[in-house]
Amino acid sequence: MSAISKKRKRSKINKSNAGYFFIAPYLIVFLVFTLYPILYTFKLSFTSWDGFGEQQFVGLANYTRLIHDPMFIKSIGNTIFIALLAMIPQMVFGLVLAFLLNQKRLRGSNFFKTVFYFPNLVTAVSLGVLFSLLFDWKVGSVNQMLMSLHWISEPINWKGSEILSQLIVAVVLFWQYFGYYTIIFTAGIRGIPYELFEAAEVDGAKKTQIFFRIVLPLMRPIMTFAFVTSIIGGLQIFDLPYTFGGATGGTNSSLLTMVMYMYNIAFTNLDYGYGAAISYGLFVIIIVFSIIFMKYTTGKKEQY
Amino acid sequence: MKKKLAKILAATLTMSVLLTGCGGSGSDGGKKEESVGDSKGSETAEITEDVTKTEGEINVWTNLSQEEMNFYVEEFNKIVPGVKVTVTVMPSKEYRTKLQNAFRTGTNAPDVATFEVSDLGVYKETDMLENLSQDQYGAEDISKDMIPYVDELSRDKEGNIKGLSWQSTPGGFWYKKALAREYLGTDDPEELYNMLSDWDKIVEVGKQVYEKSEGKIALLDDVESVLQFYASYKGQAWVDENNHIIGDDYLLEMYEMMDTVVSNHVDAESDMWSAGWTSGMYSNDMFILTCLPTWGLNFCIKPGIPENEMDKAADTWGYMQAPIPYQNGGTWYGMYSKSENKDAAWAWIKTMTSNEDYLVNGLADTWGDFPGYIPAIERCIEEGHTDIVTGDQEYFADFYETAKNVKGDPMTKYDRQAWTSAGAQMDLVATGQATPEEAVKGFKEEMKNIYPEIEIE
Repeated sequence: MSAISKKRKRSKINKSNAGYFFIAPYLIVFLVFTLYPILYTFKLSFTSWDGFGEQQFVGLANYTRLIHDPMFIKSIGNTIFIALLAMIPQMVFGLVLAFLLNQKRLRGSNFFKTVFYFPNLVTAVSLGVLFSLLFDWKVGSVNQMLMSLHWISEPINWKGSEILSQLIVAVVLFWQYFGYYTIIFTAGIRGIPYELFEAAEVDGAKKTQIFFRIVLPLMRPIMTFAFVTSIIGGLQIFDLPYTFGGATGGTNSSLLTMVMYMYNIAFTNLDYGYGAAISYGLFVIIIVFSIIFMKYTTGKKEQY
Repeated sequence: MKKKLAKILAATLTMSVLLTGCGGSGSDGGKKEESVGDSKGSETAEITEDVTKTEGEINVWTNLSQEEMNFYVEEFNKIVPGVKVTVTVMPSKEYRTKLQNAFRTGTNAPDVATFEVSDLGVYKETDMLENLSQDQYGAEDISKDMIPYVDELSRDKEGNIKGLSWQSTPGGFWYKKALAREYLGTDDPEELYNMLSDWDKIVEVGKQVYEKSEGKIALLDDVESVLQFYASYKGQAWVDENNHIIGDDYLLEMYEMMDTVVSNHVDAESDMWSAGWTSGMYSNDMFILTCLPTWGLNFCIKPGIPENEMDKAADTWGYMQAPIPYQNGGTWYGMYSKSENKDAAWAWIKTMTSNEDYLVNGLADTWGDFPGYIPAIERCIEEGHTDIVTGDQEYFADFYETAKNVKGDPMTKYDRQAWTSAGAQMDLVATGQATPEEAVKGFKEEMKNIYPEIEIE
């Protein structure tokens, strides 16, 4: 008996070992193309290197510079502002729409879900160029439309204003991603046992009560996921502000995000060492934000 | 179990190390071979004297357009049939880093690459580019007949030629003839030049145009024309060898001029390089003048004209000299110093930059570019080069006149960022968000922030 169970155990172990072979291709690719560059970037961040000569070890100089760099600090502010400005309505809209689209009486909910998801299929670069043309000061359709409606008499210099350009980028980001979160949240709502809704209805709960008392609390894990991925994505925005406002980040660098700054320093000005340090600064900031969001969203869960 | 797991992990690790190792040794191997090739190359590289008889194969990397490169290769092979050219076209944003990596590691590095003027300024001081002043090449014989500023910019600090350019890019003003006649009373380049021979006159005339057209037409396209002009004619580097940034006087004069231009409605606020600005070249009448070098005609004016309306656009633009001769842009060919195909690479560089027949009939007449090689320029002028858009104006003579007098500003690693930062401050001045004094300060602070080694007073 014991011999058989031992054998079984062993064969089980053998089976699980085979799994390592299966993950090996990914693991190798990960080690070579992800982990190695991450570690190499870390090493680079302690050097001064323009890509031509030898790398010179400079200790913590790049990090000291980073902390005192007003442009980097500004880029953090810009990024967080734009990311939050896009993220909050994304979440609210996504959640409300998902709830509405899950009402059993609503017809054609799949159609709406598909339509809401469409903007997500367009690449950010095309959106940047498209909106850049739409909001062009002189020939942009938006100004021409507003003027023909006599809502404004002089064209508005959208891109000339810091706050307006940040708003436009945030609105485009919101528009691009709210469909994605609608889908994610729909899946979340579908995961809630139907009996709970039925019981609530039997008890005479209103739609709003169902939303706040059942949907929201039970959606917390999904919302944590959505918040964290959204903040990680939001803090790394690059292509949209880059194509909309130009490489320098538009007027007074109001659209200069952290990744754009890193790109400009490392690949335009060929200061790889400092660029690597910015990457690690970005890494720390994203970790901090992710932890805050995870704590906040999962922390409350325990109350229920 | 642990042992097995350890074995598997060890195997995985070994494989990954092997893979990375392969990459590493591959590049190292490449380097060695190439450095062997190099030592042979620099000392005994046999260069065919009559390049038309050269045989071999080369790889050319570029960020120019595929269409342009196809044209060059076709023309080249008419003259040098024995060399097979493989062109790799990359978008500008990737190009710089990929080229740098390829040259540094030697892995799949091209034999010849194109360099924008500011990049050449960086590369020519490294040993990545072959010294073409060596006897076997004879680049000195070619470069002595180049436009002087082109020759100057081709040389490193020691005076060695590290690249050759097929073009020279002097600049002036391009103007819309119909609007010039209507608002300035003439479309004759000489008369216009006298009318607009300094910035004070330009501002005065600009004010009159604005009044006369009731605000519909401006003299200049955009305030960036002021930047194009000033930044292309500094007479010094943005940052000198002792890390001193360009003087306040120059910067203040530039920003004050921008302020004057904007506040007097001398410019049409058309936002240079935008779609609106391009539409101003043909379909919209917004401005009379734009400040662009030779390539402005092919890369800025003509793209604003629909292909099928080129006949209608005939004789609509003119070229005149600017108050001061300046140059802007330009692209060079450089040879990778560890190339194993130096003979064929040289055949390409020599032919494309100094073959008179090609430069006159191909580059100038078919492609519309202005050469840098004086014998070719002179032949173009003799043959009376014209363009449909500029009518019968033989503007190459004006280009030549400007080009001869251009002083090439030294190009350094700071140029790209300096233009960008200067432009960012320009936007603030133009929209009233900064005074010229603040712009000067903002420019210097931004430069210092990006390049901490810069010293500002």
